[in-house]
Amino acid sequence: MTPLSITTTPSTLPLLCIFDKHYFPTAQDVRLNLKLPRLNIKPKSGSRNFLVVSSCSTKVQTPPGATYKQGVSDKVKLLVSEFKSLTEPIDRVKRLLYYAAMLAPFDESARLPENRVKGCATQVWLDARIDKNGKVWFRADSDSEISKGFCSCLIWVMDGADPEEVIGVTAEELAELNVGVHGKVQSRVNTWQNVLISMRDRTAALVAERHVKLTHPLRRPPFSSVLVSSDGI
Amino acid sequence: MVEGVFVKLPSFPFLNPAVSPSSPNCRLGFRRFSASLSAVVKEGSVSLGHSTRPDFPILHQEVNGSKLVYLDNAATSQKPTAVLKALQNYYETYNSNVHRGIHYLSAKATDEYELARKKVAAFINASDSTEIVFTRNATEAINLVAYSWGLSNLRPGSEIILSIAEHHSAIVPWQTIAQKTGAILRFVSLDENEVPDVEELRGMISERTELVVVHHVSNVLGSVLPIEDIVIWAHAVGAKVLVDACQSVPHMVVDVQGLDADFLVASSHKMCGPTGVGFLFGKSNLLLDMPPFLGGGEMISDVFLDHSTYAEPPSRFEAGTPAIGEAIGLGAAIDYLSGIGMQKIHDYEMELANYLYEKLCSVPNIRIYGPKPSDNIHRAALCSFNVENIHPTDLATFLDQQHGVAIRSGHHCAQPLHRHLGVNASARASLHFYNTREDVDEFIRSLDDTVSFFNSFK
Repeated sequence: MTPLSITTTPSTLPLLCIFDKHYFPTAQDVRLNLKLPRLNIKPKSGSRNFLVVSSCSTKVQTPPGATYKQGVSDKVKLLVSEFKSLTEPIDRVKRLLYYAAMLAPFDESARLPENRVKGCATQVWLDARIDKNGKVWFRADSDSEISKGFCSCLIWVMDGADPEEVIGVTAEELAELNVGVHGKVQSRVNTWQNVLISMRDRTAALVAERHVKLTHPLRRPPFSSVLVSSDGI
Repeated sequence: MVEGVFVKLPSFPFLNPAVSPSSPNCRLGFRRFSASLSAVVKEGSVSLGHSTRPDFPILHQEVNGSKLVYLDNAATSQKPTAVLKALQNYYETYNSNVHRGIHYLSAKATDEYELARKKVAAFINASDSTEIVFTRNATEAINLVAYSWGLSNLRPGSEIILSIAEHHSAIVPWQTIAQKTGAILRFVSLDENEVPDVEELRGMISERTELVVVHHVSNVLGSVLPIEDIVIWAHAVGAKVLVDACQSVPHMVVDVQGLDADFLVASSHKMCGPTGVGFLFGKSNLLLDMPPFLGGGEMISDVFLDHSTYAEPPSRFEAGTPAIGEAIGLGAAIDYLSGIGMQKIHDYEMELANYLYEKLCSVPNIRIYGPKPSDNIHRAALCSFNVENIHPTDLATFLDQQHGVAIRSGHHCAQPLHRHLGVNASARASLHFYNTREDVDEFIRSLDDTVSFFNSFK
């Protein structure tokens, strides 16, 4: 594979290649294409065989093909380093808004009181399902674009992951995501923290429920209606 | 310094019927009123905002690379150097526990603490300083009335009248007490001016009414209620009135004898004083009949193993070591405010209020809550608002990150009010006498930029 160096102008939005295409089952849409920045792709001879993406302040290096099978902890590191590279707080806000636009549509039937994420200053709904392979899938929505951006990032990290990995993500690891809330305060407006906690709690509940059903003495058909298989699996 | 690009706004029709039913926010009549008010109030060559700003060191800083524009005064006010010095002086020179000590420091601390009480009494024109009970804040003061007066005076069927625009601290304690005593809470809704319906309130007052709990100035709507009239109607049926004066005491002359209020509460931190102290005003005859709220030291007379006797008010309601330094700081804040003059502060803030309202009207698709200012209706210097299709939290975040403008977003501890208005949250800009017209200009410029930014992402 020819080594590539992709540079983008500071005000545009790099790191698109970080995102697993599989994450966007419905993201092959016109809006996403319209928002693509102009990429200057130049072959770079003599460099290592990496896909190098540079923003105005930092390079993030990703081995080719690694994005597809990344674990949650790798994705957490990538996400944190991306936001850390944005030293201006306003750039973080802009990045979140960009990711907010990528959030998959939310199924209106899931907009239920029990799916409300508690403790957020904005309204956030989170729908969590577990598929027959035991992977956990999320959908979220919010009335605030910044909150949607948080949800988008968190879902990218944890969608389709093993429950143990989801439950293992800590708030401290994602502290660098702080946008609009200064410091690491336990403030009730800390949306991303509340969403993370909700994702962990719902995952734990789904696992417990699944475990109970799997160990139930009555024989169940292998594809019980309780186990919802996610799109694309 | 304004950062960010000022983008030419798309041409929305100004009066968007989808935004609000009462959209003509800027009728010509309002502009004439605003102009005539400016003509009446002579500020001199330097406005009150400019002349007092040097006293507030915290205002002179940058946040996120922009000059701080602090517009969250309804949440808490900033403190002048005089208050900071009073606090430091207390802790450096005479910090000591009050009331019981014999030695010099204790005597001095006691004197200053009781002097602060006298200052509060004089500030609100209470007839005696024993009518002032120091509490942690206004919320605790309301709880004190609820648990002490409420539990011993309310019975099944007693009615408590509140408005839907009350702060949570003025609703939640009464819900608990109503549950314990069998009392019934009745709520007054808003009228067509988006102000609590005073006529509806008058109609609700009956022989069953024991208490009317009402705010003086609304922290969301910016409206001012006619407390004197409400008190007259309540007293006619033998009901008491508890006035939540948190947003009025810092901004205007409040005279508890003139209002004839039975109870009045306020917080120090909203009136340029430190956090951690507030007060309850209660008429002497009422306080004398009330049992204690919190038990402990200070509030007792004699303690035996099987019973205790209690002190006279206000000590009866001040269990434990009080926030001594903070109360003295509140006294210093009152000295500072009195040095300016509350009428002068009120006049200046009225003008600023109208200026803020007028300028906010110019933002497309904005919906400002509360009454439109006019000759009859005066607004406080705060505006809660929403801009169509943009969440107020997103607005506040961007304003802070990009422009250093501090406003609040959320329900402002008034969820029932927001539910009535049909929104989950609103943004709120609230001013104090150390804000200037330039602050308002900067806020509006930043808000325009913010709205364009979010609209460009749609």
